[in-house]
Amino acid sequence: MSAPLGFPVRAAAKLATPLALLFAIYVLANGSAGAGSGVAAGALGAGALIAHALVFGLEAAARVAHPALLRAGAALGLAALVGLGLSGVAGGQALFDFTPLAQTPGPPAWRLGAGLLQGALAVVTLCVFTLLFLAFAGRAGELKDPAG
Amino acid sequence: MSALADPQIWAFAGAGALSLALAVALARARAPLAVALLTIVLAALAGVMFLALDAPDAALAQIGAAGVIGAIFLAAFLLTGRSGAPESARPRSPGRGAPALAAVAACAAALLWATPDLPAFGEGGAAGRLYVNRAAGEVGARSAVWAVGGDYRAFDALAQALLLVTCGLGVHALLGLGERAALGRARRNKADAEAGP
Repeated sequence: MSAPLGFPVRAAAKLATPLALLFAIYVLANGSAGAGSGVAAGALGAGALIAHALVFGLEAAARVAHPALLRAGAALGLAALVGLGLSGVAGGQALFDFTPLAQTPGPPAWRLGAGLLQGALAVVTLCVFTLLFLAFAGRAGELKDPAG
Repeated sequence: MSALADPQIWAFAGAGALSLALAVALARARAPLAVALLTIVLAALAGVMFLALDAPDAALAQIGAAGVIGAIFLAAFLLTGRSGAPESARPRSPGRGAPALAAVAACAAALLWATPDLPAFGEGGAAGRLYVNRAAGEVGARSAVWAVGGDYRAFDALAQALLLVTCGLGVHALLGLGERAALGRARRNKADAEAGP
């Protein structure tokens, strides 16, 4: 999985990968005003990391996104989602009622809660997708390259 | 008359027809690489169909996931053989496909039977109208889809994350998640280099 690619591919990847990550952040931040959601942002970010791994090799990608970091991100993102849901219960409201987050009911609380939820969903999506690719691709390199 | 003049209808119909043709090709394909590539194209075409239906949110998530899942498929297929089972290894008796065909026909009949209960296209049900009318004032979001995903159906987002993490745990149980594979090789290479030629 770390075949040396030509200069044009590496140059294009160096240009495109940060832009894709930036676009993922834009999609996440701009979701409430247009097209976009946590899953889309997470998938775009994971796509950028996977492209990095395909062009520069798994080791380079794992230096940026270490598997331990990704595992922690997936677990903490899920924990954050559960916590967001339970924060409503803790504040005496229904599950996933975000009113206690901003003390007052209405748009501020709901927007804050939904934004946090989409952010956590983006983290879980990015981490799990990237982890799955690293797991499969890493093994493939090991199996197909007995000398390595 | 106006419906036929709408380019979005034609984009949707074209992508739909192409999807059907590709689905048949996918069902007949045997080589893992062909299956992976056709799956990516099919998923991207579904994104085009969402776009034609004025659903950019769904289209963006669909096309993004199509690329990522395609890459994961390709990497997973590197772990398997390069070709499918030989023709001789697959038993072919005349009546074998009948139960599968009956199951597919039953599912299709059930779906068609349920179709009249759906709200008319573009109308939305009572819940849909409620979401659209209240998203801006109640949540403060201009995108109703974002408000539905993040607020009104927040429980679904939790289930979605649970599903993803469960997938990850399944792969973790089978292969281990990354370190041994991705970093073990790098560490070995480094050790080899330090040991000298």
